[in-house]
Amino acid sequence: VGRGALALSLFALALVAGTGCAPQPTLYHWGAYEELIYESYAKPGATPPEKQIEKLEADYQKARSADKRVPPGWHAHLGYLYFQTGKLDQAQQQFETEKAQFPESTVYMDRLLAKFVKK
Amino acid sequence: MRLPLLCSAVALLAAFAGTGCAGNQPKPDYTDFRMSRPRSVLVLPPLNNSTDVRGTYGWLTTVTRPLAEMGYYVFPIAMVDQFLKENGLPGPGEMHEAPLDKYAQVFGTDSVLYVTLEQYGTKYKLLASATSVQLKAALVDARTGVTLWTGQAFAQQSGSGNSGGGLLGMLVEAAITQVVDNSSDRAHGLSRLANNCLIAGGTGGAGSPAQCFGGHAVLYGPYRPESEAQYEMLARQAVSSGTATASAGVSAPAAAPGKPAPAVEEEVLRADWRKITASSNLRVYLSGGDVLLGAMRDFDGEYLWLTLGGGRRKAVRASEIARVAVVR
Repeated sequence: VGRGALALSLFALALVAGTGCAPQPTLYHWGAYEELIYESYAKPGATPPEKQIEKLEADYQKARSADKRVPPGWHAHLGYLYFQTGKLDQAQQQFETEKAQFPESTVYMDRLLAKFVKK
Repeated sequence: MRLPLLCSAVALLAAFAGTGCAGNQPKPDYTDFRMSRPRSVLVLPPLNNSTDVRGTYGWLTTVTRPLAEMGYYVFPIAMVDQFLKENGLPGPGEMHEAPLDKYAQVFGTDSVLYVTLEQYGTKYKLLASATSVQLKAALVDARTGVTLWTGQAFAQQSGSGNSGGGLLGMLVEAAITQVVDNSSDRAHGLSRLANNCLIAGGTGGAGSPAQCFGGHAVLYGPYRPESEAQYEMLARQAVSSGTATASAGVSAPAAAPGKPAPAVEEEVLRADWRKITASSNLRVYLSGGDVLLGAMRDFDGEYLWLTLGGGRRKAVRASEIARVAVVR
């Protein structure tokens, strides 16, 4: 019983320390990613895709200089913006990067990339 | 010029809301979460029961960060939303009704997060405003349909309207705030706090801007370095408390209390799993230390499918299985 209680309290402690109050270093450089998507919903058309690409590419440079990764979905989303502007090579490249960075995206990225092969 | 919106003292309140959060919550049960161990999350646009139509996307655009920072792969929300719309699911209602295995198949996701917004938005009184976000969430294994985790959160933020400028100052401030709020969605900002509370299990506490109730954090995902240790700790905890067999068990062949079960175990090598007769009684020893008792249903090469006690179905990743034995 004593060991169980100890394990339990250690676990509770770990949960509080790990997920609750203590600040953790972030895994990713977030930049404008989420807010750009929010804007595109809240004010459709207000920020053209070209402008969003510009902001994201600038974020990417910042992430690199801070030696941080960009978040999951980020490369895919950038590829999606490139796709909207007709820059298919860049779109394809971003989808490939997403897949390489996050293998969890493989099924979805392959589905998107399959469309490029047909062309 | 002073921005009243930013400078006004912001009082943040939290209260019990909804009925699901009785005071005595059972200890969080991470058994199914642990067994599933998802790496990726597909977040569907939330059902919006609030009166503010901006809720759907005002909320959706704040969920990626806390989930990703907990260590999960989060599918790009806007692309997913667009993809689903183009494929015959015009809104959150249809998306929430769509068959789960489609999401597994199309996106290759391990889990799907279903969220319902109960409250979202800002209500104005004469001199003040109250912004609130209340939501409930369920994380579901995309292959088995097992609910891995549920949570709910409620966050509220009140503009006090007390600028020290007397009644006139307060009236002006309320008017300005209202004008500002017509274009900026305060609940969008508050959603970040609510989500952090919901997903990372922050409890708020004294002076904290948001509090959540009835919720507990999701487990760490694979991109969080702490994940491995957390899973190991939970596995040890399950073994020492005996929940591993008690919660999942089909009763073993009749054994007198206190006496060893008369069952005979026969280990089956992985190469032969496909040959196990359906509904054979199995003991599945997981690499985490747990033991599952159940009846064989199927082995599809990646998942071993079992029927557990109470007819509950479970799929166990082959990579998480140490050995399998048939009990006779």
